[in-house]
Amino acid sequence: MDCWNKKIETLGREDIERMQLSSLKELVAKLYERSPCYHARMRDSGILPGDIRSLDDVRRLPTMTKTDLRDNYPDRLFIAEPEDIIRYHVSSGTTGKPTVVGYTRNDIENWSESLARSFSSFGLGKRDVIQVSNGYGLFSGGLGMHYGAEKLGAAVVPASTGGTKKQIDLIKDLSVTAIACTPSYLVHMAEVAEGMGLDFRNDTRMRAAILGAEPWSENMRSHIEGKMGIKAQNCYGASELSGPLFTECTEQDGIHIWGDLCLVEVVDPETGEHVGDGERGELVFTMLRREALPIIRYRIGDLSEITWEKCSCGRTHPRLQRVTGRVDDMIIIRGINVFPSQVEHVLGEIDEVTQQYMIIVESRGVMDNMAVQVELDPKAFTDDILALRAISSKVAKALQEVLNVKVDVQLMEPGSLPRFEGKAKRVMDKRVMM
Amino acid sequence: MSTAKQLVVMVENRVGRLAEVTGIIGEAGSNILGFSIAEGENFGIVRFMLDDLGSAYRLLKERGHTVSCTDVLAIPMEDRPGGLHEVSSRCGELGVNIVYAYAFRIGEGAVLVMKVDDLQKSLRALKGAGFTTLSNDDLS
Repeated sequence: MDCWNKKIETLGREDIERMQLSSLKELVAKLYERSPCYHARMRDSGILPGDIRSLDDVRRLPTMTKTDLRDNYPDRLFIAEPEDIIRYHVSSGTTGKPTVVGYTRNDIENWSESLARSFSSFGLGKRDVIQVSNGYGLFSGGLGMHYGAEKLGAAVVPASTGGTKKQIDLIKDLSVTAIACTPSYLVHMAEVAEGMGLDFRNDTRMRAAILGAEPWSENMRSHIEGKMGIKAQNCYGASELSGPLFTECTEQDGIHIWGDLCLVEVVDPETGEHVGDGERGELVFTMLRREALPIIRYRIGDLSEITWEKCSCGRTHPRLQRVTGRVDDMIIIRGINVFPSQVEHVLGEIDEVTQQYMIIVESRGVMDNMAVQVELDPKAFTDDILALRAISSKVAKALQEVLNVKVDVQLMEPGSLPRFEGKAKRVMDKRVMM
Repeated sequence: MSTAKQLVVMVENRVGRLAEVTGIIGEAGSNILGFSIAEGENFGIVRFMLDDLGSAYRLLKERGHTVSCTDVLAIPMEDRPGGLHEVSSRCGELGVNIVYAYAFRIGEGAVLVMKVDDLQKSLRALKGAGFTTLSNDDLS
């Protein structure tokens, strides 16, 4: 096993938890002293820094949400001295007011360290050439990957988004071995490359992709790996937590969450109580070493589960399973909870269609109507309208079985649905709210 | 006696999309002899009879269009009142079931393009009744 930091990455659970407790105590004491907002919250919850005696006591601390970051726009939650801030990233604000994340030098260092460990865990190193095709700028994806890859000692190609044909030329000409981007962008890139007559397997040295920033599925992984002959690694992060932070190792069996940097809890989204071991719930993050913007018990809205079982790769830190949905992505149709990830999963199992889709929800009278537009697989195209109709019915039936909601399926011409370079927006909710 | 191949293109229901397809067919140097459009909710299926199917197929595919070929029957008709009736009534008598059809003029006569239920059976029945069917070579 090639480790970036073998001592830390293979610590026993007790040692990791001892580090977590000591960092948590320090963090809480600092917050109580320096953050007027958090000080008031702790007092309201009747808890003092001295009350944190075991790791279990973390659940007595108040939680934070995105709203707290927005309400304290731009930097009222920061606890570092202004002169120690060396970077800002700002979230896109597509779901409300933007949120600002500030970083000290140590914050950037820990962020890079986390990614360098992750990149090593699936075999990347200083000989690699990593093309970063996440957006550079206010979005934390591009620069985060960039610093992580530089920390690793790899050569970075800071391609950012767009200019797909040029990006493909660079992959070939600079012997790029790994790419960081969104899964849908990589699929788009593979389609464009095919049109250019380029075969990723034979014409490039690409062997891995670091994919994240939008939900994707195991089906999409097999599709990408099969088509491009590379390993597609799932990456997890969020702008509030710094940016992209953690990935899977070679085993591709859950994302290693470095326990010395981050404490993750899983709670019931309704009650906020901890769920049982290995049960699914909403992820709650505490960034143990954050200096500029403290993130403590942050309810991120992603639904998943964690396991402390030691990974076959030898690493001991908790592993995060695939995020299966978001608390706020959930669409409620006729009283039934539907997650776009479920739709993607069903589509992945049907050969005649691709995983390019859009969900359109409309009011039809007093009822909600859900339509799924999905691109036909070009290989399944036929002149026979009845055969095409049979494909729509097959998809509709499979979706209804999984979702328990009747779905109108509309086949679309391949390539006609929007492609996303940043976060995919696959749900159009046109319901009139009364 | 032979069958003919037509080019079939899936076309997104969007203003200007058909022009992209016809533009590429022209660029490929292929002449459209006849065509028809079947409508769906979000896309149409456009069927083309071309004098040079291969080059249009290749260029459309290269430009990312969704294309396919279908075997059809192309039957010469006389271009006069009752011309189509002669063919269609005989098809009825011979038990040839037409799924869809379209027609175009060529030279002094006309050609009826039909997609039928059972291609080989229909071909035999029409042959037995003295019809000729055209191949792509006959049309180009």
